[in-house]
Amino acid sequence: MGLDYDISTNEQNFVLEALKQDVRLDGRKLNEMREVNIKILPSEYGHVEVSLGRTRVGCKVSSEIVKPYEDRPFEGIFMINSEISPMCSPFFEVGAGGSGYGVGSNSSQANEEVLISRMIEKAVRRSNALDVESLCIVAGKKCWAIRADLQFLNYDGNFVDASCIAVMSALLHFRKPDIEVAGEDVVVYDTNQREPVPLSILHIPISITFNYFNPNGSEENIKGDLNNELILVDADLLEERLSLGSMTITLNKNQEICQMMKSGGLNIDASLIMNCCSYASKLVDELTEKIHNVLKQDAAVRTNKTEEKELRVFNER
Amino acid sequence: MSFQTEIGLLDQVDGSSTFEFATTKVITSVAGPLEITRMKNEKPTEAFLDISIKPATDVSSTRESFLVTKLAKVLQKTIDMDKYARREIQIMVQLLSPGESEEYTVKELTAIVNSVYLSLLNGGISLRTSFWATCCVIDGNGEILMRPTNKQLRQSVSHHIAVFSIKDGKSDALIFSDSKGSFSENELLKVLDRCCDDIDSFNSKVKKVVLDRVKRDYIWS
Amino acid sequence: MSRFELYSPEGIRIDGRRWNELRQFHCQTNTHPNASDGSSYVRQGNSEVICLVKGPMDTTYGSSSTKQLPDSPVLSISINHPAFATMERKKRPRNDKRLTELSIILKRCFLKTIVLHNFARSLIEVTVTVLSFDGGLLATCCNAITLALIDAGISLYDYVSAVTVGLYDQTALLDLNSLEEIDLSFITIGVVGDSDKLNLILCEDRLPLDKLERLISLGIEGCHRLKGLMNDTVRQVGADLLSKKQ
Repeated sequence: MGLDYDISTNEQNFVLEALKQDVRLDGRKLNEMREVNIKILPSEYGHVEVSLGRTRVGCKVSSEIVKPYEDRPFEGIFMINSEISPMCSPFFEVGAGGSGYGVGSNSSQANEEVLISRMIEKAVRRSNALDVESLCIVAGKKCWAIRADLQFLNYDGNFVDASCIAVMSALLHFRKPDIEVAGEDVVVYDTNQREPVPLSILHIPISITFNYFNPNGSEENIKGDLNNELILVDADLLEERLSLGSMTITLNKNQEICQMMKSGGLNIDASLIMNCCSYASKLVDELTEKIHNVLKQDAAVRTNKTEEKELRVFNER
Repeated sequence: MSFQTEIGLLDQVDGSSTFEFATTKVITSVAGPLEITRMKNEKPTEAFLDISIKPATDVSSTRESFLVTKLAKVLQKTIDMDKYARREIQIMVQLLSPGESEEYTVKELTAIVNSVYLSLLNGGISLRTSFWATCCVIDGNGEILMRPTNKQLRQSVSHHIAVFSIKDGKSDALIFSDSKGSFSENELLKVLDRCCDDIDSFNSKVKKVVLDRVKRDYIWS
Repeated sequence: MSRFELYSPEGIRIDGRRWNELRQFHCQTNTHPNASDGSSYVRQGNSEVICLVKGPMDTTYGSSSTKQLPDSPVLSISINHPAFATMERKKRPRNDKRLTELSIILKRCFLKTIVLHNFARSLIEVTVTVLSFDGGLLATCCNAITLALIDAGISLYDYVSAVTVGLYDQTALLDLNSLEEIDLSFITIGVVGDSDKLNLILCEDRLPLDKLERLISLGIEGCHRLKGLMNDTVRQVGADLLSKKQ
């Protein structure tokens, strides 16, 4: 078992009392997200590092040509690898989410990992953010396999939101080599010969996580009508550990829910949940804008480079 | 040609660093000494090193386990193992950009060893000796090229990696060397000599980076 | 897919129900008196689930080396979804992430509903077996666990009842079967007692945000009806027990 993350009673009380007074330890408002920083690594396509405060997640997208699955000959393959290593926090253990534990295991970090990977899977893959049909090259014989490898570097709460942004911006940034199909033969062009082509992304799902705190006793939560549970956005590690429940909702810009999960925890009135949803949709719009801006800036830098290269070739002639 | 590094960038682990040279980039973390996590790993007289290497794409395979055994060889000689009896030291390596084709491991291993060294210093793990790694290739004309690019690596006849211990600012004893390809004994000796010089040339920069970090850590004193 | 008409213009669904009709709900408690401390059997339409609860018991008797918690019980929930429960006899991997996820969700859900401090340093082991699956896996499991916990005499704050709600075009449909579940976007919601408070929500498909409110309100209504039905059964069983004792 990985290390347990113990928080002293004093610290717990301090955080909770502060929250009751609408103050968070890092000075944010309850409904304020941490600074999202999207860094595209300049060396290649589709390698992005996202930081959400001190939470850091990298995502690297790669492609290869493989045989499609037997039962889906017209579709490409898209995989997300979200294995969490102890690098981000000794709280996580090597290979805990993969094997070696039974269903219903009590190791809380294994649970955490399963939930995180399932949520990313549902948000991005099941919601068809990437058009897998466009990855087909020769039906039943050849298709693109796109894989997104998540690298969890530093854990300070809210891995789901950070990794969702990371996967989506990496996919948007990624370019696969251009190909030409003649019958069953496929010619793959080197990136120097032909401009590589972007993937076809249908929509951009963004996750927002809310954490719940209870200022009253648990009986009031179940029976009472106060409905004054504290709701905060984008909890950091300490808040995440102390919170009594969380809800992650994944939306895209078209006001569609791609995935939503409130796994037990505090009971929250339906009207409060609706408020969360509409607030999330506002945040999603901002974040989508942000991703597009970062990509635009990067594209500008990159076209300058290619133009320079072309000019140089021209001069050499 | 030089290297870039950032030390102590992760805050959930005891020591961490990134290391980048010639398009190869890794990030490593060290946590420890920890309570042993699995009883069967406990060693009564020395530390247990829990090393895992994750590639930039795909999941760990035999290639990574191969790198793990090599890295373990270096670390078992350099970490003060007796000092951490019945403890565990967790070393995580995440490759960010391999900088070489899949069939080679030299550049990655070089970057990993150096990065782990910086992480160990950052994590305050006691070491028997300082060490540093470098790599080179011998090309078709019998010339030795230090820290090759991917292209040079592919055109080479043999490639080598050497890890030397460092004493008084000079490379001292050979800790680990690994070569692949066809080469003569003479060539290997020459390669080791060159590696020795190469490591010496790095020394001042390594020292500076480490000192800078220590200064930052002890900013209040 | 349009060979089936999921919702006819006359407002009749594929199995003849109206939009806000539940499937036939049947539940029983204490079905396995010798094998467990509490047990239940729930049938919602053609979905059938049995649930066994062992506990509260000493943590040392647990299957895995579980850690004692000073202020709450260790709750372990496992879900068996055997191949015979579905039409497709597909072999599932032993560590199915989907089932693990469901069991984690259920565990977190009941950890807030059980009166925790009554069961400190003990273990409650819940096993759910799906006998036949026809939609609403999470919902049926949730209802079955509630009943089994009641049968085991474990104190709960209130019932947790769950139901699925789907969206067909503009209409919200209550309690989907598996045919509807395949084609429609749906959410599973769980409600505590007679309140409007949601304990669990799970949505795995794309769904317009402005329809969510309608789905949730229909779902809450459905949950309350289910809670009523479960309550009737529990009271009936209790009355029978009492009459036998006298």
